[in-house]
Amino acid sequence: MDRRTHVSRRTFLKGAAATGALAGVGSLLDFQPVHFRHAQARTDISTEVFQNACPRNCYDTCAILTTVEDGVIKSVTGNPKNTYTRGRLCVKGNSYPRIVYSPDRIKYPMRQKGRGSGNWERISWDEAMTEIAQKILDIKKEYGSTLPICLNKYSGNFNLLNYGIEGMMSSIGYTSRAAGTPCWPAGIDAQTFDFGTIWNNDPEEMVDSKYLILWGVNPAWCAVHSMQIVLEAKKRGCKIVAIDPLFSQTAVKADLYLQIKPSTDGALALGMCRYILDNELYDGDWLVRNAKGYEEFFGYLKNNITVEWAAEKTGIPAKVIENLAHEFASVKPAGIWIGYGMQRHTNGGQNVRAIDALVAMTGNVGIPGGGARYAHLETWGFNYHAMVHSPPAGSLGDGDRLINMNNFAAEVLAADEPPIKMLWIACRNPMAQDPETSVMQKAFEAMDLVVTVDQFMNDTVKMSDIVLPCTTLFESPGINVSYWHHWMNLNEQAIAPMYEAKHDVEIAMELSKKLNELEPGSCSFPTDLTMEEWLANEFNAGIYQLFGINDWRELKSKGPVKAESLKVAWQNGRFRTPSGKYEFWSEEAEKFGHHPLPVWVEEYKAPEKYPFRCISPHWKLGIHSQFQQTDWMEQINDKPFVEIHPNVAAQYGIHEGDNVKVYNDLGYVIVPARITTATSKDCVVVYEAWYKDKNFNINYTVKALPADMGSKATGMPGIAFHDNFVNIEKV
Amino acid sequence: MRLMPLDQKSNLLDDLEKRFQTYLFFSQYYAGKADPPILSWFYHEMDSFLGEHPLIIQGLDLLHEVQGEDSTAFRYDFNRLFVGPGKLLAPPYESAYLNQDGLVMQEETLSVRKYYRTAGLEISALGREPDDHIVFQLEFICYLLSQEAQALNGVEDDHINYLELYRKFFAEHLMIWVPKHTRDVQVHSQTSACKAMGLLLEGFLETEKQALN
Repeated sequence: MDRRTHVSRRTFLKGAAATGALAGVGSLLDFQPVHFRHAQARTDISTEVFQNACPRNCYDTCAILTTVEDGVIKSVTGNPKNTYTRGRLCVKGNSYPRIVYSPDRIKYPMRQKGRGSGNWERISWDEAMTEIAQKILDIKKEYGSTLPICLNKYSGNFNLLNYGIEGMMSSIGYTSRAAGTPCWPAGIDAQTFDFGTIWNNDPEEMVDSKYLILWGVNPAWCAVHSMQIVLEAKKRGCKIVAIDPLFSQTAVKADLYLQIKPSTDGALALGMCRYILDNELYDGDWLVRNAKGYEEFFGYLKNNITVEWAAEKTGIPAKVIENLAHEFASVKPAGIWIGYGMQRHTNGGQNVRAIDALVAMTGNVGIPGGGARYAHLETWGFNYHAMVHSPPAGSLGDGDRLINMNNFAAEVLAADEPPIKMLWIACRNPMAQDPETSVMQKAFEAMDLVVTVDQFMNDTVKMSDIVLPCTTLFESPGINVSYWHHWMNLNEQAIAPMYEAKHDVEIAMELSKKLNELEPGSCSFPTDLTMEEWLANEFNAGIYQLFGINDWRELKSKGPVKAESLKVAWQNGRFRTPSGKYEFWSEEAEKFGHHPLPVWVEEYKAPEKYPFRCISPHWKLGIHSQFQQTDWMEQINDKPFVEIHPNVAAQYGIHEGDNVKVYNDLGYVIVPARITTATSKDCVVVYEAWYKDKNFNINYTVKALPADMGSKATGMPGIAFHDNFVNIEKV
Repeated sequence: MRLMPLDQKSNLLDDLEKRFQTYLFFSQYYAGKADPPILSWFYHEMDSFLGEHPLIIQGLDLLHEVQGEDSTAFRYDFNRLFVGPGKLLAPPYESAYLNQDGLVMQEETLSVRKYYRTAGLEISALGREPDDHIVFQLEFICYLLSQEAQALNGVEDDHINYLELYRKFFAEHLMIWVPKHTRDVQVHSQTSACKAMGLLLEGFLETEKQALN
């Protein structure tokens, strides 16, 4: 039949009526658009400036000023009132509007039919909440508790209010929790044994240093605002020394760069200590007043350590070690910035203790411009009102079950009585960032329900059943502090949430409402607070006093505020160790299975089959799996690569750009080679990152090998990311 | 049959009606309210006034196959193209095509917003959805055509030349980006339904472009 026969007016109208019925919006002469309203009368389009706070897991935690016109972000810039941010953002911060306004954001709650299938259907928030709540209640009924539900949430957003996700989990009963931190725990424990806690000087006063060692840290990439301070110090005459297995962008700017064999940092520090001891360059007065166990430490040095030994361990000539020790001990103030990379080893905590000892014995603790600078949590004394909630009455069990975040996949699979059946993932991308990716895949496959809250499709979302869209920092209020500088930044809601995105706390309130609707009393998470009320509930007198304000609302006009009293860590000499002194000899360390002194612990050595250490440091264009996927970063670089020393490349017949398989027993990645002397002959380097639409993940090769420390302060040991050994071949 | 030129007054109301119904149908489709059974109905009932453009013929032939197609597969395909949660294979936003950085809510989106305001409208989801989403653009045109029809019938007269506004909006917005978008649909769609609707929309706009010239 010829379709294109003439259609009579009558048929046409029938069709028209049917379209109208489908639309339910009337006909030509009676049409009311469903997606429109009458334009609000407006005389002009106002421009407003809002304060925002970068919530990323980054030293710099910047204060942002956001210009908004007609409800749309026009620009972002650094807030000059925060003298650490100094009015400028990094490339990542400057790219924020591109994240907010990327057409590829996750916009609506969606459900995948078949994990990993890519078959997604759009659902309403109510449908999503109903399905999730029903699953929670079913699990509770079947297993008698909510322990089969496991939360994996961490550092994707450090806005204080994002702890509401933990709060939501606590509000349904006892659950399983990814515990610990992959980032920095070995170093935290080390400093906790030595000082009683972590507390670094205000980084802004690094300009007063006379001698600064940047040890295993790369601020030129990962803390650009501090790099500015380092360069200012250099300009004022401070000698800058970079110690790193990799010739980093930071090392390029230093006066002296020492390419140390990875994981031997403790040997170098102890060798320096021995030289300082032998040459009586230590600060005896400081030690007498402030330290416990330095005699024992000196005894250890005399009996076990020589500069020659240190030279052999570290690959740094004895003469250079002596010079370095001499210089460091001869000027004051001299400080060391201890990076997180150098503690991601099986002896990482001990190495940090050795460096602490070096700073302490030279009397550089508690003085401006000095310090063993690692991190701090001194400004984090909020109420954690969003986080701390009691389980509903009648909840069975005696507490949450802790699942080691650093061996998450294997522990999820091994969990028994009851098993883990449901995952809630927020502020994390474990499929891309955790070790042993193939085990992670199995863990996800074993679940009944996986819920992920995120902004973009990634490897974890791909393996989820339900994805919920969350707000960017501009779309919800909050409060942010840093683990490095001493500022507090208010985060104002600058624009309405795009699409159907919600903040984690709003999601928690929605879920709580639904749970109680289906089973009254099944969730204790409050449902009737505004976001501003949630924010207000985080503040207390201690925080107000520390930051010199009377009410958090003052921040709206005042801008960011700084905790001035924290400026010089340990200046008062009151350490938070059991003895109240700086502890070279730590019984706490002994309790946790370590030697009480900062002794040398052998580094993890390359097995014969896998002769290269694969270091996977942070990448300049991203923070873990964030930012690299944005168009700006892709335009600068959209290819992961492996850095190989020229001699090694020659030996393996590898040329620049050749595809190289980096492999071990666990897995492999194939990436193009970059031939460079920035790395040593013992190491290959693959920067960890998540690339959109690329089959790349260095964690396929990374074992969940624990670092030596972390259990005391963070509940779980850290992870020895950089004790990853591989072989390479040209493919 | 061809859509009649807009200046032939005798047929104007009919012409407006046809355009209105077509735009309305596409807007419903993009709003996710049409699945294969409805598309089949479209094939049977409305094919004849879409015109004779080769893309339309091709689209209608393809739509013929839709009758047997699985609604679920269509829905997944539709979401991969236009909704998410992954990178959109054929973003339904003008700005995604015209903005130099491929971002929404930039100059291009705001220019569309300005058009809506000229007609006294703004999207209800102002600031939450990009104003230049295809659903809004198509529905906006329905509104303009409806207002024009009502003016012709003497129902309303608020001194806005709706037809002229439509002509301009079509030329300055719809026609500039939708063909790029429908070409993405051709490349990436996995079901006849989505592919056919892309062809039909592009064919319809091409026909309309001729009619408006």
